[in-house]
Amino acid sequence: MADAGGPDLTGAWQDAITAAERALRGDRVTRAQVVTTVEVLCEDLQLLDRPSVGRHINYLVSLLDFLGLYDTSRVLLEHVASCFVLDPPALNMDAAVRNQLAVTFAERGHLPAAARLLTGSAKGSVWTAATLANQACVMLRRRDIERAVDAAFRARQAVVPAEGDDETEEELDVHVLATAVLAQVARMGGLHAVADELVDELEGFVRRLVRLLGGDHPKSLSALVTLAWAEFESAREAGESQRIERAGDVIALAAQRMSAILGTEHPRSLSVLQIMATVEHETAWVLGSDRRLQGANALMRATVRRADGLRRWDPWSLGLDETIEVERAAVAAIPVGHPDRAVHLTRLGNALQARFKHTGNPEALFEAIEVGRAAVAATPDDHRDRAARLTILSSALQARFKHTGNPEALFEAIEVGRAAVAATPDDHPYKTVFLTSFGNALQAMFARTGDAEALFEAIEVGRAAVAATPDDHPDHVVHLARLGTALQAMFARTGDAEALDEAIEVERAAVAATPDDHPDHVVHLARLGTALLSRFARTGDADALSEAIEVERAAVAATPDDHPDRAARLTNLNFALQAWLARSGNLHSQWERFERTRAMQDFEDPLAVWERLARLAPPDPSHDSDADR
Amino acid sequence: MDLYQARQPLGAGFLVMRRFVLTALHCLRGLTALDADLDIVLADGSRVVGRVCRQDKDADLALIEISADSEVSQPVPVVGVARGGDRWRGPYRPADNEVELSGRIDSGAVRYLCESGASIEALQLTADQRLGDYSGYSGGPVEGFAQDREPAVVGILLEQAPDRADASRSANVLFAATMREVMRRFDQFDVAHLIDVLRPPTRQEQAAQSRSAESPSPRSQADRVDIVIDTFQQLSDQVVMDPTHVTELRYLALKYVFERNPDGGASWPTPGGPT
Repeated sequence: MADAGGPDLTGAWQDAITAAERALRGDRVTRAQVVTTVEVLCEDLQLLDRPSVGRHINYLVSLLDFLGLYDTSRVLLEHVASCFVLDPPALNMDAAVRNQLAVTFAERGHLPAAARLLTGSAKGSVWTAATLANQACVMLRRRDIERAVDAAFRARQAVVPAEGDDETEEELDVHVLATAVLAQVARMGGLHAVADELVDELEGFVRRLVRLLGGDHPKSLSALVTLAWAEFESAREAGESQRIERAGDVIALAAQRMSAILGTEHPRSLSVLQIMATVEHETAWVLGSDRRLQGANALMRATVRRADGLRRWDPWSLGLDETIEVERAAVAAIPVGHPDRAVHLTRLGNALQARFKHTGNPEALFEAIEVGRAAVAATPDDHRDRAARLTILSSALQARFKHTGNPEALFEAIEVGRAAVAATPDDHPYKTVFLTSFGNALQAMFARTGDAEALFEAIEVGRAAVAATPDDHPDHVVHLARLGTALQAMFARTGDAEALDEAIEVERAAVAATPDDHPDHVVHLARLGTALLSRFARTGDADALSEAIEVERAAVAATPDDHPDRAARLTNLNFALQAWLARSGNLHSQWERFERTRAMQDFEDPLAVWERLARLAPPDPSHDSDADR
Repeated sequence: MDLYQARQPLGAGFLVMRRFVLTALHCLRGLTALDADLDIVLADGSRVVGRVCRQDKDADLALIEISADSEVSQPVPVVGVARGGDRWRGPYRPADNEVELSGRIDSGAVRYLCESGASIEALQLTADQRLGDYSGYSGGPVEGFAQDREPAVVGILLEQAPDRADASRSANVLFAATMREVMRRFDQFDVAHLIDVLRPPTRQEQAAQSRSAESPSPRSQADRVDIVIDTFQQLSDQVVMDPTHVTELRYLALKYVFERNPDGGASWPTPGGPT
């Protein structure tokens, strides 16, 4: 290694880089040996304590990616990122090193680490400009548009070469990047005339950079693609199909050339491929060509597969705070009326609800509700996602009711949930999800107000959810259980025998549909037992009582000694058995004998007591009938 | 893909993008005239018309432009860089009764003096098949493949090395131009030219370009063998981020929409989603 090394390239660094270079040349070093050297490097506690660490990491990661050692390169970067957290003073490094590291992280999608490195820009005109331009790029990718624009303007102002001086490579890099950010933001904001002026400026910077570096340099190709993308957006806005196709063709050629220089694994190759897929898709759409669209779909699949294969960080899978931050910025950036706005409002609302669940912070919930309302308002009535967005809003309102007890929130949740169900076609894949959410709101209303109408509607909704779910679907039994609960509540509220009969059938189906070793099996048994006891209590139905004893006994047997529900299930079994004993006069003596044996050895074990009783009084209906006689 | 003229097979080609096919110039010897139309059979079996638009006699390469009225989808880019020690194969066979070539990539990039006299960046390949004569395979793509990597087209087969002991035979060593070399040889792929395609230059720009053309590119590394290593070293010094990332939001939006329609669908998917 001639250039990337230096006086501080010693020890573990030297070993790792040399091994990777030799493996790349096919020079008797295996990939496994390269991995080992990087593992040793990651044990270096002074990993960042050298002036050229930015260059070394960038170079080594590129080599590892080229060797197909994506996990190893990722581990190395994660180790570096963890160093920043564990040892904040390690960030007190030269601005150039910070920027080099930020480039490495940003190219591989790890934007939080890149942003952390760029915070607190260093002194010095060129480095300051580079840091600002990098900040603009990272902010744009994180959808913090306002700060992106501010940083981009400041970056351009920071690059003012003395009169007569030739522009340096770094100065042109800064101009290309900052101008590209501004053009992109202007286009996103609908400022097309401004964007077109910026594209004119961008062209000049790109031409000068290419003249400086030559056409074979990857940065020349990146600059070309950036210009081609800006030109594509300008042409699309102007509706000029020939310009659109020209830009797409240039990007396609550049994609091949970039891969021919850096390999398909390099982040620059992947980035150009992503642009190519985007442009080809949008071109197919503009031209209305199904054949082009099929090709674009194949291209998109390949792009996604390649990105996944490289195991990059996905900016949309970062932490919750990160998601909220970027989605909030996206909402701020997308004009009202744009179809993407509702998408980002929904994502923001979901993230805010998740934050409320994690932190209990009501402000997050209140914002989620406002955002949810805005998402619904931004969604046309006939949009296929309208029901989903209504349901998300209803869910947030229900959470607010639970948190604050505010009945207005519950009223609104029901209205919104009802609208969601009404907007859902029968064959919608998420229909049962919307029905369930609506049913929960109705049951909450019944629980709060005792409103039988709400409960009646909840039962109707529950029946619809059961009917909409195939018997072998994992959610089928869940919907059965919810319906059973509502039906038992209806019986308790109104004494409606038909509701109770239906509840028993539903609970039997739930028990039958749940494997014996499933944790929910005992829950369904207990509910069925309760329903059967209710029928016995209401009608004196001996069959119901016998079945209740059998079911309650199974429920108790399946409940661990230390389970909080064990006492309640024993009580139910106790009740059932006492009732059975009360009906079985010929066994009264045995009951009395039990009463007398309270001092017996197994008294402390209630289950053993009841099982002993059960042996004395098997719940056999024929036996019961005999006793009655 | 296959090249024909009047149903007579000419040789193999490689679709670089929807408008251009690369091949070895000598594959086109059978053409009645270099500006004659030829038929191109694409990978999906469809047939389009093209015409030679550039030839590089030094490196034995030709570029064919597909007729503008043909609707061809942009191919998925599969060009890549070879690593020494990887395996290779040549998916093109001159005829159905010919074998498919495969073997080992001895070197990711070497200087090679072509029969025509040109010095090019080439891959040195060892073939497993030991045919003794590899005529007819020229112009076909060379695929490199290795563990944890997608196969990639890393070169275009050009020449076979003669057997020193028996001049009537060829050794089982072949040479292929790297894709980087191939693409560098045609102005259609030149970055400055492509900028002009995008935005025709002003007089001032033309003057600046002519001044620039007088001096060689200061960063050209065409004479280096360890080109990939050298390029990585150059890029490892960079302090400014890749400007193509400013487009990422659009790609992520499209990806999001696409993943909600994993089959791709036959029509433009509707944006939106609850999650």
